[in-house]
Amino acid sequence: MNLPIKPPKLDQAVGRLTGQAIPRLEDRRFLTGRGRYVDDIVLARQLHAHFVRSPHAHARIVSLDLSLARTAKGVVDAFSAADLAELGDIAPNWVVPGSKVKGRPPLARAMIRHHGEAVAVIVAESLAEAVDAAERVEVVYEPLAVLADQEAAMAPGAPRIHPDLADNVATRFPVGKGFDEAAQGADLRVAFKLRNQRLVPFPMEPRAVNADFDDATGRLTFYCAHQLPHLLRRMLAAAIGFPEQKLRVISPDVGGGFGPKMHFYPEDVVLAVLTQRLKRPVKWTETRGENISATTHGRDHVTHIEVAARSDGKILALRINSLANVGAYLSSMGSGVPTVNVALFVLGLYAIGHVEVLITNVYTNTTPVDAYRGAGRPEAAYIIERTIGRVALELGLDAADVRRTNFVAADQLPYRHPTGIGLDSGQYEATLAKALEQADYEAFRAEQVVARQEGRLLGAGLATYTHSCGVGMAELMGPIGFDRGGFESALVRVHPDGRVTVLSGAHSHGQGHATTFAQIAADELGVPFEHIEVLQGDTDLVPMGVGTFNSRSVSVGGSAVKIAAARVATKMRKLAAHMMQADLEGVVLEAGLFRTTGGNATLTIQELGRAAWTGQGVPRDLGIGLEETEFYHPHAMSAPNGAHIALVEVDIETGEIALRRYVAIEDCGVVINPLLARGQIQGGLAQGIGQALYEDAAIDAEGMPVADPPIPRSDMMPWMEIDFVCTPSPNNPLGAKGIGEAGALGAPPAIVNAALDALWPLGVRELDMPLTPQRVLAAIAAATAGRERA
Amino acid sequence: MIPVDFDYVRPTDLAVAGAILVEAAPGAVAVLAGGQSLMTELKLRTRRPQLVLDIGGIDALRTIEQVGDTLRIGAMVSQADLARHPVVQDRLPMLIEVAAVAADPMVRRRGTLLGAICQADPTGDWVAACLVLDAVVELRRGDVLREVAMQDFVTGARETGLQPGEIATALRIALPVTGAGSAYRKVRHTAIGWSIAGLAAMVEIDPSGRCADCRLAASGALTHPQRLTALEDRLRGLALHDTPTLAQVIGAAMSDLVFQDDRHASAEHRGVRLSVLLQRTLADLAG
Repeated sequence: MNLPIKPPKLDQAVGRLTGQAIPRLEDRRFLTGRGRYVDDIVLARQLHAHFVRSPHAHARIVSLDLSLARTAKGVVDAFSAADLAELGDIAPNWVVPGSKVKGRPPLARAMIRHHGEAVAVIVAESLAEAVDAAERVEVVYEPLAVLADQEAAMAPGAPRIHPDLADNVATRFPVGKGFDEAAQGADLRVAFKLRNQRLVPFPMEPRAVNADFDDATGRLTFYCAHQLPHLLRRMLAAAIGFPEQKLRVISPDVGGGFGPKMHFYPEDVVLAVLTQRLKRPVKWTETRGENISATTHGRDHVTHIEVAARSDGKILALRINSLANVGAYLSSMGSGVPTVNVALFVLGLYAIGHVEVLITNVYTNTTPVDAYRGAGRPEAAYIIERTIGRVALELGLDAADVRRTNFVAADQLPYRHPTGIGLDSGQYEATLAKALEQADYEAFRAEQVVARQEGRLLGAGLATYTHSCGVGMAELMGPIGFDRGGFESALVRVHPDGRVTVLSGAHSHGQGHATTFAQIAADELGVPFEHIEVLQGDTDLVPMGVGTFNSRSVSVGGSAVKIAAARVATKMRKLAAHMMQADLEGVVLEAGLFRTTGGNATLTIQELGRAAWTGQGVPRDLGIGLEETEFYHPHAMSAPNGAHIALVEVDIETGEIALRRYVAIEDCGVVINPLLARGQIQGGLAQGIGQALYEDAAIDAEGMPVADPPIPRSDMMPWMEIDFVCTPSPNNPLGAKGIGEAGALGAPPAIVNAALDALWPLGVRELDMPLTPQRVLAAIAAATAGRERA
Repeated sequence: MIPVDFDYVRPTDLAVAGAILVEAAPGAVAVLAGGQSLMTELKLRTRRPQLVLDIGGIDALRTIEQVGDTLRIGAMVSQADLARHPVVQDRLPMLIEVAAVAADPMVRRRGTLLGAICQADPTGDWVAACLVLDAVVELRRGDVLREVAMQDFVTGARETGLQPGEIATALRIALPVTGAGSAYRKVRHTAIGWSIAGLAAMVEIDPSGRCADCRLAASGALTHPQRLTALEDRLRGLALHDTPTLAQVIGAAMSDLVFQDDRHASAEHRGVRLSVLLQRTLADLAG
């Protein structure tokens, strides 16, 4: 965990296009319905797959008969686990040392362990025929007792989800020690419990696969809505024993991912096998119901917190004990997200000397839990920011003051937390001050006093956040069991006509890389922005890459583009200098025309391109072409941070919470495109506000997730007051830090802190998300009853 | 999300549609008007009809006509068209309020008033409003016509007095003539949008500020949309500005009602929300 933070070698100059709010080039096709998604791809001799899924969350399969389904109209074949016996369980690609790994079976064998687990797959000439035939599959289940909740699964004597394990523990992850010693002499000691509820990620486009095996060439083309095309190729090739160079993953336009589309799923493996068996392309597009049951969920921690503080709000020590519900099986990152990504980040932006964390991953009869926007760090931010809020309320201090008292000081940066996490740069007090000013915080506090006298409940909630973005370093990922590279690839090619292709191993699933990466390349190359095309998502085309997650695309993928483009630019200038018989330093490229300073010579980029790609008149030592590939491997990650403020009013009669204002001030370092950065913040806030106020996977006692998750819509969002401060990251050549997850980290604690600030005088001490009116009224009633008893 | 195989007909003559229904086995035919409930049921395969009978081709069902002080609304009149009709705008402001909160613009564009009435969903906003408006449903079986008052037509959650072979052809509403104030208010589940409690109210206030007469119906909160007759009786003669007494009367009436209880809201919470809705709406109508 203790890698040196190395200074970058390249300069951090912001160019002509970087920093500009250029509308997304992709918008034209997305907004006119002409995006091309996996489901839009229809191949010759196309077959369609439909999965038969368990209605039970825990059951034994007594019998399974596919004979009637196989003879149904249009059906080509039907398969159960017995027919795919060569396939093992889906291996996770992040296994925290010591984890007891139970991967997802491609199709359930004898046991069902979560609702919606697939037991069979029908392949037919049309999707309608496959769905019809599914009704002819005869499955007899013996339902078993369901353990959906992690506390129940940890109770002594609880049935075991996987009977060959001693208990339902998948991973135990302890970090730090010394709470009791450090807490001695504290003025305040408080213990409380909170729940970070399970969420359904719910991308607009569900998962989709079209697997196409060509028997003549032995090649398999795998169209898949995915965030990590290259990693998917590696995982899939290994799982089915297929030569990796003959496996091509194409991920076209992807309609949102939020994490779940970077994982490796049973359906992927099954379709890759079926197309080889049937020698025809087989397609499957998830229904919304399948998306809710079969695609991974997010969050789901039950957390006990103990905090010791001085009367001035200075926190002396923190102890966290969290039970993480990882579902029935370990999904791709299922052991790491709830442990490493929570435990190491619980100190936020605060200099707290002693922290003790124990996180226990628990198997249950639920859909596997994995990375979802923020991937563990929202849970960590919620823990620390709720803790700070609680300390402020307990001590009667201003929430802003308690944060200032505990911030890592400017002269401590770069800073290393006792958990090993580094903070590279920031101006935490200034960021908070800007948020307070934007929110008219002082005036709101005055209004709050008056309102209380009138019986109205106003509340202000603060939250800061940080996390590490731009993963990362191979030296760090190995020891924590994360089987991925942390580099990113870029290839920059200037064509003979001066136009530019950029290939990137990152993969946009809505972020707008085609725009931002073109901005980065244009500034390096000096060519017009509109002459640059960014291509991604095809493993035959793009140099080996990693993909998009952890807000890494700009800081790692964008840095690769910058470096590769800079090398091409250097070569162009060298060649231009040779062709114009000028000094290298005197060559400039403007709008596609090279000039010499002080001379009259000019050279078009087309003349240069032709020379470069024919080699005619080019010195041998300059080589052929204008093309460079960079595999950028960062030395350190960055720590974006921000300060959020929610101002709420609670209706004491109805329990409704009105979000009057929401302020988010972000330090994500150098911003390449403020328009798209704001879009990322807004999207994250929608999900964070959704978690605070509305959303819940709400798995019932039978293990069924909610059929219609309360996903917020645009008309439920407040006006978001977003602004930036910029402390460039010293850890990458762009100075960028990452912005994709900010809103999802800041909003839940800001809003819950605001609600508690409003309700504290009534005696309400804790509230769990989502803050539904029913829950708020119940908390008020319980507090009132408690006061009357006292 | 793919329906079972079914046949489809779209007659242009009501008599033909009527004959198909009379001859069909119970449950074999699904009548398609706006399709805003049926399409979902078909896709989820919770409805598996042999035949979908589309009545959208029958022009006679598309009319809104005023006969004296009665408005007659055909079965194919969409909720959006209804809300735009000049007589509705003039005389039935409550329906404008319903149209502002029922489902969403796309559903109201295609969904019909009568379809919503026949669906008799527990959350049915249009059902509650039509209960308060004392509407009458016109039913036809072959050539035989009959009329049923709303209060007798909606018998339970998704249960109506529609008999096998019958088709609902129109709804009649007597246009209010008194100076009664009306309102339709609704508490939605904040995220999902389903009704937690809805209230249709028509209240006449006498010169002394007392309730001279009132009609109230709840949707969303109770097991199915229904008139709150016991509360209506208690409110007559009451001074609606007397907040404590009003709260007391409403509270007493709540105890006789059976509330829905599901994961969107508990029965207790629905009771609280309906009470608050009643208090706030009646206070508004009292002026």
